[in-house]
Amino acid sequence: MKNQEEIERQIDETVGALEGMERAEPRSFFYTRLEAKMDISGMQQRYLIIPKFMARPTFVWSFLALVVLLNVGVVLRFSQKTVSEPQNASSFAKEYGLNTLDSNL
Amino acid sequence: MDEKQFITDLQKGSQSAFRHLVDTFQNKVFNTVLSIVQNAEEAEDVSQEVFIEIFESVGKFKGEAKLSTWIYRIATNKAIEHHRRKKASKRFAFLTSLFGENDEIVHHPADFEHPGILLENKERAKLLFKHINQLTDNQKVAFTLCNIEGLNYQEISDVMQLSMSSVESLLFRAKTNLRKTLKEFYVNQII
Repeated sequence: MKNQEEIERQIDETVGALEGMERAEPRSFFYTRLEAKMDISGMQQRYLIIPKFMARPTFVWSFLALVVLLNVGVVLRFSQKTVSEPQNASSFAKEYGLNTLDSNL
Repeated sequence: MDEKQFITDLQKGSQSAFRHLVDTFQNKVFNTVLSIVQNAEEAEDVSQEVFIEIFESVGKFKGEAKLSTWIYRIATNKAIEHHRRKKASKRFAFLTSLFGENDEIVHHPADFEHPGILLENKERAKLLFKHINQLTDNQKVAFTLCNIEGLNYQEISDVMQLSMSSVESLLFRAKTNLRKTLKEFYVNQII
């Protein structure tokens, strides 16, 4: 019985522990930190503004495949052009009379 | 300043109006969020999210409720959302700990100490907040708004968008559950 009363007293005191409490305040310069966070999230949002279809994996992978194919194409084309380079160089020299310079020396 | 004019300024994107809003409500928002989240750093993050949400959605605010009611609603929703996420991650951490990862800090966080509690009540308040954390989300919100923020039943029913009788019932159940769990605690302590 005495225990029961003691338990009830403890409960009442614990439930009443919030009496007289003051409001908690955030750390100083809350607004400054908030402004910084808003700038960051604003920047992130600006970067996220892309059409929805562009964010689809199928579009991304197709786009990447196209880029790779274009690169391969460019590389192949350049490697073919280098074969004819000496010919081009001699015709260029002829046109500008560079061969005569060599013979003079 | 007239509230309607103030809301119009906010909707126009006035920075000074937004600053005034933050200055006016930062303590109310932080205190509410802190009492639900029970961690000062997380409460600050959530409070910032609350003000970002206010800034982004003030254009949709039609003035059907009071500005403070709307802000309390956003604050409690964000805090509860965070609380749920935290609970879910704790559950996941418990599972990972079964496989040998060390999650002691996650599993046994230090007891929450509200900075506004009187010194002589600190220990009891710690215990009380631990038990408040065991209430259901709605009971926790109603209890926090009533006993920590000091809102009346009508204001709580506006914030929670529930009838007055539902709020009364929530608060009654919250107090009953708190007394029940505290009784179990003290029975084990005393006997």
